[in-house]
Parts: sequence; C-alpha cells; structure tokens
Amino acid sequence: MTEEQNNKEEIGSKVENVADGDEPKKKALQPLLWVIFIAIIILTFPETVILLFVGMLPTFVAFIIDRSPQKYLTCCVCAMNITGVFPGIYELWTTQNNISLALKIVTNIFDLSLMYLSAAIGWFIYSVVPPMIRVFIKVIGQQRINLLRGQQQNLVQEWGKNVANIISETKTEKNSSSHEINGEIKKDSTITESSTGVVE
Amino acid sequence: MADTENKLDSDLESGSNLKENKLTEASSARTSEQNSQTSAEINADIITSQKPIPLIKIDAKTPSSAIERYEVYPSLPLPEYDSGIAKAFTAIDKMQPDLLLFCLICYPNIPIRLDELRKLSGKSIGHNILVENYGNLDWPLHEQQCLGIIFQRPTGQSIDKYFKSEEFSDQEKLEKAKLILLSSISALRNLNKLGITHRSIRPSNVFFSDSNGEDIIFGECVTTPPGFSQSLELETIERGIADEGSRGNGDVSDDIYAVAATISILLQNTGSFPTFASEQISFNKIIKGSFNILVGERLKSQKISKVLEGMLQDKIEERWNLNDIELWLGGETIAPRVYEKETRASQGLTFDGIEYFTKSTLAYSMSQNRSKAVEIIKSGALTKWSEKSLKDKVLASKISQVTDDTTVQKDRAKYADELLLSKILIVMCPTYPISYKNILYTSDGFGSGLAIELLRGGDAKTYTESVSLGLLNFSFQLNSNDKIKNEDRIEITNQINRYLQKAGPGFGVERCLYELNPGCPCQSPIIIKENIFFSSMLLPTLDKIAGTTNTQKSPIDRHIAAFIASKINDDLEQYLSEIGDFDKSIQTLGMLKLLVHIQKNLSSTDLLGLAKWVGGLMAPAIRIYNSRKLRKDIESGIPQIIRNGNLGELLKLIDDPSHKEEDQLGYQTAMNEFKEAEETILKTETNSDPESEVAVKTSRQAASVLSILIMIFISSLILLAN
Repeated sequence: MTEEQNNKEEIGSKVENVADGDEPKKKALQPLLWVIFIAIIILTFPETVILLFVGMLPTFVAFIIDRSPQKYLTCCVCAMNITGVFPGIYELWTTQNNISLALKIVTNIFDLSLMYLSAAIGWFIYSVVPPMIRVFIKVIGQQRINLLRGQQQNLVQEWGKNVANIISETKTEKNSSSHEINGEIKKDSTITESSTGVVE
Repeated sequence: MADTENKLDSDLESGSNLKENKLTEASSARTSEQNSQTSAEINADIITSQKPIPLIKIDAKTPSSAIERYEVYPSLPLPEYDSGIAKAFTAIDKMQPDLLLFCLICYPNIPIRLDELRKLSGKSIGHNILVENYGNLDWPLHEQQCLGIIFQRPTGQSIDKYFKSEEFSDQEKLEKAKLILLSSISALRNLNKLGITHRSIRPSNVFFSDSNGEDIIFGECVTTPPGFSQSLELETIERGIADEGSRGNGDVSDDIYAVAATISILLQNTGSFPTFASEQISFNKIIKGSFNILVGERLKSQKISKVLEGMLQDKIEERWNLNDIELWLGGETIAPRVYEKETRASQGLTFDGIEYFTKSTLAYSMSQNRSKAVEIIKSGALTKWSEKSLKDKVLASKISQVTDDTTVQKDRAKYADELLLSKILIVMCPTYPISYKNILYTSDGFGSGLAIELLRGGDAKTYTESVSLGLLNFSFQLNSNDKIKNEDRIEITNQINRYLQKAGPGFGVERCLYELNPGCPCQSPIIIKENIFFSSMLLPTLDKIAGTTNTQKSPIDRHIAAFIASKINDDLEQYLSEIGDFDKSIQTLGMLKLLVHIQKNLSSTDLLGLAKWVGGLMAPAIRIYNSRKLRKDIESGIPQIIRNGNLGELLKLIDDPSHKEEDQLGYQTAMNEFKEAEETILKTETNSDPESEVAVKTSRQAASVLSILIMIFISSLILLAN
C-alpha cells in the first residue's frame, strides 16, 4: 500500500469521527425541543390538552402495551379513540373553549364512556379483523397456487417431465453452493486456528 | 385329375433322371479323355435336363447382365475339379454355350482370397486356370447364398491321374515332371507380376491344359485362405507347423517348395513315398530336412533329385529361385552348393525325456509341451545349454533378457508364463510361427487364422490376446530382414491393437476380422445367409430381407458396423461413436446417419423395405425433441417419406437443425416459465400462511386502515350533521 493511500484513509477516518460526534449532540437536543414544544402547546391550548389527555388515555395505554415496531394496535385504538373524542373536541372548539367546559366534558360519564367505548371498539377491530383478513388471504393464495399448478401441468404435458428438472437442479446447485460456503468457512477457521497455532 | 397330374410329374421326373444320368456319364466320359461327344452336344443336354441356378452379382458396381449369364447345375457335380473343401459343379455361359466351364462352390464359413480373385478374374494368366467370373448362388446344399467361381475347364486331365496311371513309363513321367517345372516358372512369374502367391499347388490341383498333355496349368488358388487345403508335405516347415488357417500368403519361395513337393509326391506314386502321421511330418522335416524326408535317395533320376534338393531347402536363402530352375532346365550347370546345416550342440538338453541337440527341434517340442517348457526356461537350464553346449552366447543372452523382461512385467502376471514361452520360442526360431497357448500362426497368417477361428464359432480371444501382448511386433522386430515391409507390418499391428482397445460398434475383434480378411463375408446374423462381400450390396440386401427379418432390431449390429467401417474409407468415426452411445435416441440417429451416408455414396436406388424398417425404429430418435407437438408432427411425416424409400429425407425430417433450434428455444422458455411459476407458488404458499409475517402484517394494516376509515367516516358525519 502506498503512503498516499494511507494518508487518505487517515483523513477519511477523521471525517467519520467528526460526523459521529455531531449526531449524539442532535439526539441530546431532541427531548429538550419536545419538552419546549409540549410546554408551549399546554400553555397555549390548556383546555384541549386536558380533554385530549383524559379522552385519549386508552391510546396512551395501547401505545405502551403495543411492542410492535409498526404500532398497528395503537393505530387502531387511536383512530377509534379520536372518533370518540371528536364530538367533545368539536363541542369545545365550537362553543366556549375554556378549561371549565373541558373539565365538564371529561367528567360527563356519557362523553367519557363514548370516548373509551370507541377506543374499545378500536381494540375490538384490532382483535377481530386481522384473523378474518388472514383467512381471506389464504383463500386467495390457494386460488393463485391452483392456477399456477395448472400452468405447470400444461407445460409438463407439452414439454415432458424433464421441464421440471430445473427445480431440482436449482435445489442441488443451492445445496452444493451452501456446502461450498460451509467448506470455505471451515477452511478459514482451520487456517485461523492453524495460524494461531491451536491446531498444531 | 390328381392321379393324372401325379403320373405326368413322375414321367417328367423319370425323364429328367434319365437325362441326368446321361449327363453325368457324358461329363465323366469327357474328363476321362474318352469324350466322343462334342462339347456343344453336352451343353445342349445340360440346358434341357436340369433346372440351373443363376449366378447373382455380389458387387452392385458390376452389371447384372455380366453375371446372370452364368448358370450352375447342382445335380451335375464334377468331383475331378473339386479343390479342397470347394466342390465343383457343371456351369454354362448362356452367351457362349460352347465353353466348357465348371463352378467351384466356396464353403460359407471359410474366408476366400477376394483380392486375388479380383486380380485373376477375367484375365488369361499364362499357365494358370482362367477365372471367368464369380458371384453368389442360392445354393440348396448350404441353404444360403454361397460364392460360386466360374472357371474354364482345363482340356486335359489332372496330372495326379496321369502319374497314378500305369500306362505310362517312368521316363515319360520324368519328362512330365520336367514339364511341370518348366510351366511352374512361367505360372509363378505371371502370378508374381500381379503380386499373388498361389499357395495351393498340389498334385490334384495341377492339370494338363491340352488333350495331348503337352502343357500344364495350375488350378485355382482363391477358394480358401493360403495353404489351407495343403497337406503338410507340401508346406515348408515354418508354414506347415502353423494352424491350417494361419499359414499366410508367403512368397514365391513357398510356391517353389510346393512345386518340388508335388513333383516328389507324383514321382513316388508307386509307393516308395514314406507315410507319416501328420504331427510327425513337420518334426521329421526339422530333424532330417525336407529333402531327405520328401525325396532322399528314393528317386531313380539323380538329375531331378538335384533340382528338387535345391527347391526343398528349408532355409529360404538357400532355396533355389525361379532363375536357378530355369537355368537348370536350360541345361546349364548350377554351381554345386554346400547347404549349411544347423549348429548342433556338443551336449544334448533333455526335455520331456528326449535329448535335443538343435534349437529348432527343441523349440518345436517346447511348443508342443508348454508346461514343461516353461520349467526349463525358469530353471535356467535353457540359457545354460545355449551358452555352454550350443555355444551361442547371443541366443543365451537374448533368452535371459526376455526372461528378465517378462518377469518384471508383473501387470501381465496372468499371461506371464505363456508370454515368456512364446517370446523364447520366437527368439530361438524367429522364422517359425508365433506360438501362444493352443494357437500357432505365421506373422502374415494372423488375419486368416482369426477369421477361421471366428467363422467356426471358436474363441478368438487367444488371437487378440497374443496381439495385445505384443507378440506380433516382437516377431517382426526379430525378423528384421526387410525393414520397410516390417514397418508396414508393425503399423498394421498397431492398428489392430487400436481396434481391439475400442469396444464400441465398428471396432473390436469384428473390425480386425474384416480389415484383415477382405474375403470374409459379413457375419452379421441378419445377413449372414446373403454372403455379402462388398459394401455396395449391403443396403440392397438389407432392403431385400426387410420383409422377412425381425424389424424390431436395428439393421446395424456390431458385425455390420465393423464391415462398413472396414470397407468404406470415409471417416465414419462420429457415426460409429453415436451408434455406441448409451442414449438410445443418439444411437438410433447415428444408425440412420450411417445408413444415409452409405446410401448417398454407394446406392442410388430407392430402398422402400429398408426405409420402412428404419422408419419403424425412429421412435427413440424422435424423443430428442422435447415438444410433444413437434414429435407428433414428425411422426405423422414419417409414413410419407417411407413411401419414397429415401433415407436422406427421413434423416432431414428427424434431424432438422431448425426444428432442433426451435425445440431448444421453446424448451428453455418452458423451463423458465415452470421455474417462475414454482417460485411464485412457493412465495404464495409462504405468504398466504395465516401465521406468516406478511399475512400478519397485512391483516393488521388492514385493521388499522379500517379503523382510520371508520374514524374519517364518523368524523365527517358529525361535521356534516352540525
């Protein structure tokens, strides 16, 4: 390796280090920004925040419970919860829009029941709909498989059984290549071992 | 009505029998020089009495009219013209009915000398019988086609009869012996010019060419391998020791020897000729010399004894040649020669209870008693005897060298003893035949020996084994007098080895059989009865028998493949390797290609029968196509082509490159489609599983979307309601 190449590599590594140092600083600033943003919201719209905080409690629970990265449960509960909270919000925004009205709505058992019941419906949708959809997917998949099998059967009739050999050949190739890879790995490990003097 | 017919039949039959008897009488009367009838009258009788068998051409190049003019009468044998195993029958030429002819029917299981026959046919060669023509006959005795050779009958009788007759004085017989000598010079020179040796000179095969007995002709020499029908007295020691089918073409000196032996036998017809058992003749010749055994002191004329002594010398270099005989007959004195005798050992070597003093006698006995011979070689007794008693240090060193070499070759341990003995025998007597296991053959008689063994249904393995072990080449190297000839022979031997090493059709022992024996008819079980000698007749014959043979089998078997390969000089290697392929479709296509090649080059006629036969076997060849539709199309096209009898068109249909390309392309596409379908199926199977990640994800996504939709819907309703 030449000196120039060595210098380039050193410079490259230094640049990477600088970039790596900036990201943690940005990450550290993010919560602070959020706190400031939430504080502004709370201070600006306190009545809406109260209503949403109380009304959207099932969503917060679902968010905490839902461990999946896509948060579909949260999405379902949230959507339905919003549906339940929406009449309250609508009433708040279209009438007095103050904290006392907000507290009146959140203490009204009918309104609160509507919010939580709709959240429960969201939970119900999340529990019932996916299995139904999966059954539907299976039926459609089976139909497609049958169609493809029919096409394959036609090919065999026209070109003979050997036309299917390509599948077994591909499988054999895959197996042999995986064996080769395994062999290479084994070889490498032996080389490593021998270089360290373990095998000897 | 039936009775009348029977009566008519019996009348006709008795009539023909009477005529047959008359003819037999007539023909025998003619040959015994009491031929009062004219030849024209006899021939007229023959034509009207018997149902003759016409000669059929054996080479497609020969015009049919030139052959079919000859007819042979199976019920009119001419035993005086029989030659060995070939039987003679009356023959006529329809174009020249006055000609006196006879036909020799060749024995089907014995190869003939075809090259010699072709050279002699239709040519008048001085002092040799005239070969008029030759062709096949549907011979009832052998129930198959047999080769018939038409000869002109010698006007005079056989000299054997003359010498046996007591009518003539010894002096007259002596004069006739001189006449034989004189004629033989011319006869052998004429043959020599054509590159032919006679190798069938014997008392019963030499005739007077005229009724006055003033000229001599030699009889036929083509119906059997050289020397095959000769008694041991008439063969030189070297060729007499060999098996009857393996005596080889030899050279003019072998014929000179046979002439001398014939004369000595003829002159001693009165009973003074000693009779030995056949196995004793060669041994006695080796011990005492051929002249002493065949002539000795038994002839009254010292003069003729002198010439016979020269002609019967066992060493070729000492044997008189044609010039010597000519000079002697011209009255010139040949300088007296001292014939060198074989070196005699000071002390004998006891072998099998007998003490031997010369290497030739010992070698002969060793070849007869092989197990004991190996013992004396291995014990070192032979080397010691050669060195101490025979005082031949060169021989002793050669023997020890061969012994050491053979012992070293452990890979040949299975044959070690036999190989060792054979090589030692070659070293001891290089001119003697090669002796291996139970066979004895001369270096130029290997081919005919192999043929006789194969044609008689024997095991040719011993012959092929001996070549593979290098015995032929070893013998050539030791007989290195004629280097150019030897190089040719070594090349041929190497070629034989190459053929033997390849096992596929067109090679192996069958190829050796036809390469070394042009006069061997094709031995394929399919056409063996058709007696095919030339490749030009192969396809017409296959076409002819297509209706009667088992057409489920391929028309090209190992024998036919080897026969074609040896007769056609074109490069057929590719077709032959295809025929030998394990894949039935390649095999069938190879067979068709070979047949098309022959049809293109040799046969211009349409072959309806063969095309039908081959067309019926094309199923495996059609299977090279993957497309079922294309297969059906080709199958449906075959019957139409078969009707034309053109194999080329059949090949064009089946082996069409555009069809092949189209099929290959289609097949590749189909394979890819199949693969894509399979991959999609697998993917669908995986994804449509209720527990699969995709299904779970999709279903949850659907639930989320549903919730959002409901939310939007209800919110919109609320908004609209207010």
